[in-house]
Amino acid sequence: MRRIIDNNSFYEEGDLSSDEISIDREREKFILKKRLRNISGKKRLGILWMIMDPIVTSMIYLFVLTILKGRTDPESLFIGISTYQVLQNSLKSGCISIRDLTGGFKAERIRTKTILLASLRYRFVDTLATTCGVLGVLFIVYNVSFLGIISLIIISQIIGFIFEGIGLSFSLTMRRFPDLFNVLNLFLRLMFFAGPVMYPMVATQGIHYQINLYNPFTYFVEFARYMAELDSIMTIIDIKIASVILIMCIMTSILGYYRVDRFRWRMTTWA
Amino acid sequence: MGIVRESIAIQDLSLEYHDFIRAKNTPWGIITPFEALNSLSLVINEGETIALLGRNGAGKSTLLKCIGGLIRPAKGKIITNGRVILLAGVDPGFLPDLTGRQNTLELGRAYGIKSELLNQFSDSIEDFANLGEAYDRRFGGYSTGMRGKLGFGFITALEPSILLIDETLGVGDVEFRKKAQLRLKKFIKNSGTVIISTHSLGLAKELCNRGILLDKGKLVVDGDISEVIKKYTSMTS
Repeated sequence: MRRIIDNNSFYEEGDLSSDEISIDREREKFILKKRLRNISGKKRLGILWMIMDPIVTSMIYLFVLTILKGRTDPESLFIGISTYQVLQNSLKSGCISIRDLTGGFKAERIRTKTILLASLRYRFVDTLATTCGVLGVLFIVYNVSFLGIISLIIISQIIGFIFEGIGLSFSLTMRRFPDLFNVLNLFLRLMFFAGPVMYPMVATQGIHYQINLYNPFTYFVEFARYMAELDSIMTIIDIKIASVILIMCIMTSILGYYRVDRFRWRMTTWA
Repeated sequence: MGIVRESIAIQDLSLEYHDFIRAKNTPWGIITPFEALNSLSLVINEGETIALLGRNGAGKSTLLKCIGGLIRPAKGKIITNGRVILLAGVDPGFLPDLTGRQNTLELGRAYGIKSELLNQFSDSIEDFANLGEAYDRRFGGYSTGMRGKLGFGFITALEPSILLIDETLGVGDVEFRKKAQLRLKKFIKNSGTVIISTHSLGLAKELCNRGILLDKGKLVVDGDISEVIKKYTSMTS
């Protein structure tokens, strides 16, 4: 394979052979396994922690809110916390993903497409693991309908893929100004309390409600609640605002996926 | 006489690193470009074994990384023909929680070894690295020398078209170094292109037929290995 390396890009001439395609698939699997191993490490319960974390977090907040308010909506809270965790994981993963330029292969350059596909596979597994425990609780304990459960699986996966892409589109700026990662963490913490995570949108009012109408997460989580037949504003939302916000999210995400190779190449000489 | 094929062509290559520096007068920090390679042009043919010489910071490792496609040139172009493997340090990407054997099997597959040849591949590395029962122990617990043996054994077993070696032959004990040189000679004999960045002039003279001397990112001399060593010695003494 003839490879040409210049300032603009690293590219290969000609089509990939079937051997090269199968090597790339093996590499995707290797990167996925490596990322999962990094999470499980030496923990005895391994990746079970990915499943347990949103359940335990939801139960803690459920307990706190029950004490404080005297009443709360547990199904709504479980859906909010699990989907928000998916959003956080995917956004952060996208933002930091180009820090690992090699995918763990230190002796050979591997194609950006391989790293990207491995990231998408990981996103799918991570999102599934984050939501599946909560889905079980919702289905068994709270009798949420089967349609509601399936919708939550699909909505979570959509959140995962869209926000991973949004993270990717900010990754170069985040690498240049690492301070922004702290800002992002603080912002995500703020939105955990200010956004419709622990409570549905119907529990908000005034400026709080108005601001959340411009929060993309609102539409995903409220749709999941609507499909689970819980309190939701989906029937009264302004379709125009929702469409503009969602289209902006999707476009930013696509831009992130599209530009990742260029980002990866640009930052190779940033010490 | 056979046809000489071009393996690597480097045209007017320059490279800049961008460093973040915080100082008293720039408390917020500034990004400063640093030129690591300056207008290098070279042609390397298939089957050549080249010693890359130069003082620390001359740009040897940067040039190897650039040929390996790991870093972006600021200017110029590199064209390579065939698979390029870079042995920098001693680790092709081994996972610390797996044993040496598990690593060679899992990583071997990801480096393109076919399933039916994997066991043979792993056995050949076991035989070369001579780690004994440690081959079935966690890689994370290996000493630097053991890691070097496994890493070198692994990468040279891949048989790439172009092998780039960055100061790795110094790892391990005397016995290993001899074995590594023998393995490398075998690789060279099989007509792969090899570039070795080294400070060991004896090794360079023994293994290489051509030398390239770099200084401050610039090409000083490119030619017969004896002449280049002579120039390097006069430069450093």
